[in-house]
Amino acid sequence: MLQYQTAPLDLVYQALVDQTRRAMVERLGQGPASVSELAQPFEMSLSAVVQHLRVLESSGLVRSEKHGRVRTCRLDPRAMQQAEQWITHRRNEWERRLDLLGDYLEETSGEAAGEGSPQ
Amino acid sequence: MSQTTTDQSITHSTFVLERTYRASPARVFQAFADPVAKAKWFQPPADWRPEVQSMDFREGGRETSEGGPVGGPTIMYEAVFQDIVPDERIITSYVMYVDGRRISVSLATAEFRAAGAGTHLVLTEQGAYFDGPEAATMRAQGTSEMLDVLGRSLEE
Repeated sequence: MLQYQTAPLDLVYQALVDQTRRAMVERLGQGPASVSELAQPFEMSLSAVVQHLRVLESSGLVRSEKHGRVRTCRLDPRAMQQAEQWITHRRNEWERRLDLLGDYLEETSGEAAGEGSPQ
Repeated sequence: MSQTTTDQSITHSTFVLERTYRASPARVFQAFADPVAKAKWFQPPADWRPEVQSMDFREGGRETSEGGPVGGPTIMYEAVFQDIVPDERIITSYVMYVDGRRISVSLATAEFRAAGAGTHLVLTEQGAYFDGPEAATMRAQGTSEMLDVLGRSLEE
């Protein structure tokens, strides 16, 4: 049971509708790769490859970093990572508790002592 | 030699939650500081076992809780109060475990700001979240599963 938390799913589908981009994502599923490594299986210009990568990055599936002259691409861990689910869970838990805190403060407002004269 | 990503990786995340309550900062602070008051709102979800909690509210003191969904994993919370300024601020560092596996190390700051006769509560949580050891495999599997699903949907 895997839960995907990529936001705008439309962008993801648009990104993956293209066969080349699907192949790139599949390759990145095995680990990070440089742009030239990703380009290798395809008979297309480097700029075409870069175009595909831009679409993948804007969909949120892939992110890349340049170190020196090498740009390394990897799947964005947020797309399929447990950590992201846990973060969302933590935040939601706090939201819930803060609601309960509000209820508690309302319920006990009449019992407040030593607060000074009521306004 | 191919590069594998089996090392556990970390995701950092910060979130900020804010609320305004019609209660003085002293009262809101007290709801955090007094274990009896805190238990009234700091509760687990309805489908969870009751939590076992302890709190020693002072700088350097610890707070713990253990609980989890019925029939589900055990979730543990271990915290240290790093900074307490009465009616103003509480800073807590804490670790969370799921079935004994450490899942996050975090810093939580609660600020109680006077807003008229009420309080503007600002909660800032900054955490280092541990990716599971199986995550690299999941990622590879997840990719191919996702592509399968997509492939099927495109064939329709």
